[in-house]
Amino acid sequence: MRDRSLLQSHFGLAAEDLGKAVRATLARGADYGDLFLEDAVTTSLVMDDGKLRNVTFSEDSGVGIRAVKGDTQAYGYTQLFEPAELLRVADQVAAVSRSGEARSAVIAAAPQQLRTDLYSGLNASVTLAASAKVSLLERADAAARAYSPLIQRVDVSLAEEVRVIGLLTSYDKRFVDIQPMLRFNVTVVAEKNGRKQQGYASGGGRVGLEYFDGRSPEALAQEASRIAVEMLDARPAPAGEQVVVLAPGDSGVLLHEAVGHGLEADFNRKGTSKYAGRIGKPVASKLCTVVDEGLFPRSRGSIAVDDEGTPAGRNVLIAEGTLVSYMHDRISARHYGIESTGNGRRQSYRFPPMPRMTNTYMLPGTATPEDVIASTKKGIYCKAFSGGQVNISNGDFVFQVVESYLIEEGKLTAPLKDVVIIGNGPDALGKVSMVGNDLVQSDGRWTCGKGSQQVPVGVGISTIKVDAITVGGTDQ
Amino acid sequence: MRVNYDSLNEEWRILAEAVLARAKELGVELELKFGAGDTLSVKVRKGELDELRQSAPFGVSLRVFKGQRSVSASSSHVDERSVLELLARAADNVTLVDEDAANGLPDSDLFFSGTASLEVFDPDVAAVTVDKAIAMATAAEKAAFAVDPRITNSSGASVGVNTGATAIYNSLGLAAFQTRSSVSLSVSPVAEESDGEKYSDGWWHSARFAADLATPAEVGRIAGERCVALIGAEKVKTGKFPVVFAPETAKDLVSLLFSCVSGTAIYKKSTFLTDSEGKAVASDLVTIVDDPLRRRGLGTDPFDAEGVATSRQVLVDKGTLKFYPCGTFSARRLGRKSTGHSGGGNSVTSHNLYLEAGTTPPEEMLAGVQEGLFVTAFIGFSFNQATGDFSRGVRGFWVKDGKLGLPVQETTVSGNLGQMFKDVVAVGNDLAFRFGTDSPTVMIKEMMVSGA
Repeated sequence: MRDRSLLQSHFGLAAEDLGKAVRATLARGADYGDLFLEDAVTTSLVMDDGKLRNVTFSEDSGVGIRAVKGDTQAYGYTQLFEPAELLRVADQVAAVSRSGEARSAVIAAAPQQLRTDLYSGLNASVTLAASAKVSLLERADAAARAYSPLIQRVDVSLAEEVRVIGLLTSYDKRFVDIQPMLRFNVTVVAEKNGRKQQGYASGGGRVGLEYFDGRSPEALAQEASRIAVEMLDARPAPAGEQVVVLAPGDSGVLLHEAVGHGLEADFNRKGTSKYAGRIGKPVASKLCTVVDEGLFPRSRGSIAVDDEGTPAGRNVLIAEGTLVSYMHDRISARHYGIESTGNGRRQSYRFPPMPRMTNTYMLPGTATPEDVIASTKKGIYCKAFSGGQVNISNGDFVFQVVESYLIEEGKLTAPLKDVVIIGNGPDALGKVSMVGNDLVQSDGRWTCGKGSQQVPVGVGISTIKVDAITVGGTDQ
Repeated sequence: MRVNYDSLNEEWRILAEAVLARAKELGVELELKFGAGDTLSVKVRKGELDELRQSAPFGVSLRVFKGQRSVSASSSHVDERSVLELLARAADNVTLVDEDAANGLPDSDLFFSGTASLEVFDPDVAAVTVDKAIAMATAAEKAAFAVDPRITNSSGASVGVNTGATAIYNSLGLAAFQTRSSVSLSVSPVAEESDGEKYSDGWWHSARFAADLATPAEVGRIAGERCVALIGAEKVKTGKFPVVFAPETAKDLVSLLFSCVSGTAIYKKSTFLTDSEGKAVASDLVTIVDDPLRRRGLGTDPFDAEGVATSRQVLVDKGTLKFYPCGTFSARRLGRKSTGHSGGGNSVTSHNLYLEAGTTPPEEMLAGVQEGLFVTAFIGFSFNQATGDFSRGVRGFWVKDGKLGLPVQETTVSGNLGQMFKDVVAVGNDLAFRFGTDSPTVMIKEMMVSGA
């Protein structure tokens, strides 16, 4: 599928014209330029309380053109696949360098060989007739209603995307990649004695409909229903500093916020991150080894190659508590005089790339999850999350818990109301006192926002214990 | 590139005629929307250009209805052949979906007609050059650095310059066209203490008209002052205290209340405020208005995303909820008519939503607080619409004996949105139309503050 002519055949532009546009980005002295081509097709089905209410499809294609001079970049895009239009945008961005001689470009003759084992469902079901997928939604709807008579409403959706992307740079890189993405969502509302509660579950990844061979629509519907029904009886969570035990899997959102963003190299090259200048220094407890890795087959956060042509890798960010590496794109790598780590990602052709996470996770420890909980006299156990946010400079981060339980004398007891947990990056990770042996990676669902760009990511973690962190409950 | 919106209007009208005619041949009803824009953004950091972005995007979206069935589609290909293909594909798929009596084009008696002169397009915005934008950003960042020597770094100052046009046509004769402009300025300085701790905050402003934009000097100064004021921030003690929300945070509470009474949340029964129409949802100090027709407003819209004419409406009158804001789909699900709040598809959106000014000067409000929290920024977005449970990270200041004291961070405020609105004990006289959804300073009797 990745033959040398695909860039040309898929996007209908002659290689010569693409090369000309890349060269034009350097006409005024910029030291790097690239062309990013994209053609994305999306289909979604929405079931609203048992009825297939809507089918949507969309196509979005364009070419983003960039010129870089030092740490400064100019970016423009067009949705017209015409040689003259490419040259117009290339000329516009070339102005990032205002004086200077034209630099010469090295245009790759052949595309890079990319690994092909990370995505499944390349001839994705996105093009399949919608009728073939309706039963998946119906099965989820039925399973949610069968779970409990308390389930009052069910919303199910299936969204699939296939994104063909191509890159041609002024520095000898060229690739075409075809990235699939599937996402299945179930939202339910349960009601008891006039009290309502919502439950949500989601799954998917870079995979086609074979996703459901591993996890059924019924399983997702039951998970959403279980949360809604259990949380109907939630009582106020405690306020103030508490011992917090995190369940394996989606709790990795803690890492994403507490250290992930702060280790994106753009914030560090600019000195605005709390972690700036801390390479080689302790930033977490010795139990914490944190890795960003784009290489898990089918994972939502995985990529064969980043959007600048650097193959995704496995990058250890924190090794036994010591900060060892930031996540780089091309600009920050050049700034630090090292190679990019393959984290230069963008939402679409409408945006320039910047350092972004892929799948960010903590290596497992040795404790059994049962021991972690049993060792906790009083605390809260957090299981499901709706997201988080971080202030890069002061290091404060939050993660939003939608399913949690009180821990009393080493046992999970009452379900607790929605609560936000707030901490400070190095301080919170410094208080990690136990790490379980039960590492789980997230299943689909997570999208990371930075600036105005959204990219799909994954998180992973084992059961861990944080000795003190502020819980935004209402019970004193 | 300068987009000529007059000729675009004419191009779209001709294209719409062809596509609507084809829809008729296919036996379907059609809603057809076009959008185009011209955008420039610059970011300056430490006095140097960091990033320059320019583009002129366009797109088309459509909804096809056959009886009570509906399918939607969108594309970045806006030539006639592509749009006709998109229509054909949507029409092919429409038999797949289930019938829903709520589906269909809006009632034609609600359509916007004529022209509105609401001053949402300023030709001077289109005339802002790259050099001018860079100069504005540079001046704003400089003003932030000038506030205090402890401001040692910056995430940058950005200027955004946008013009755009949208048009909506449908099979029942709707034809509506609107151009818009906006210009924005934001500054994000970083203060550093001698111990190396960093503090960041920022300030921003945007306006439809270039002349209405706050000066770079003002935006930069406020950003710098906010940033320096945070130096030394710490978590506070846990307990129940009065909480005063500054306008830039109080507006988010107003948005949350809107989402809880939106027609979509009501018909989905996913809100704690079902059956709240005509009932008290807030203290009688609270009056909330949506005014889509305010001249030069950031959310000004003579028609909503379905082409339904909008009007000024009081949503909450002295604490009583007057109606559920709806688009066509949610309205029909609830057996009523659209209120002009469609955000496209079945979504519901506000326009220029605001909490009306009260009578209390904010200084007086704070002076009445023996011990409590003044909130100037949220971190995170958590809110449970089904239960109303609210719990968020905050930054701000501890209030002691009526005076602003130590800066606060790594702290949360929690409560229930329904109770919070009922516990509003003072509304400031400091309403300014700044963000699109706006509020004066608001004081809530008591919330749980969680820190150390």
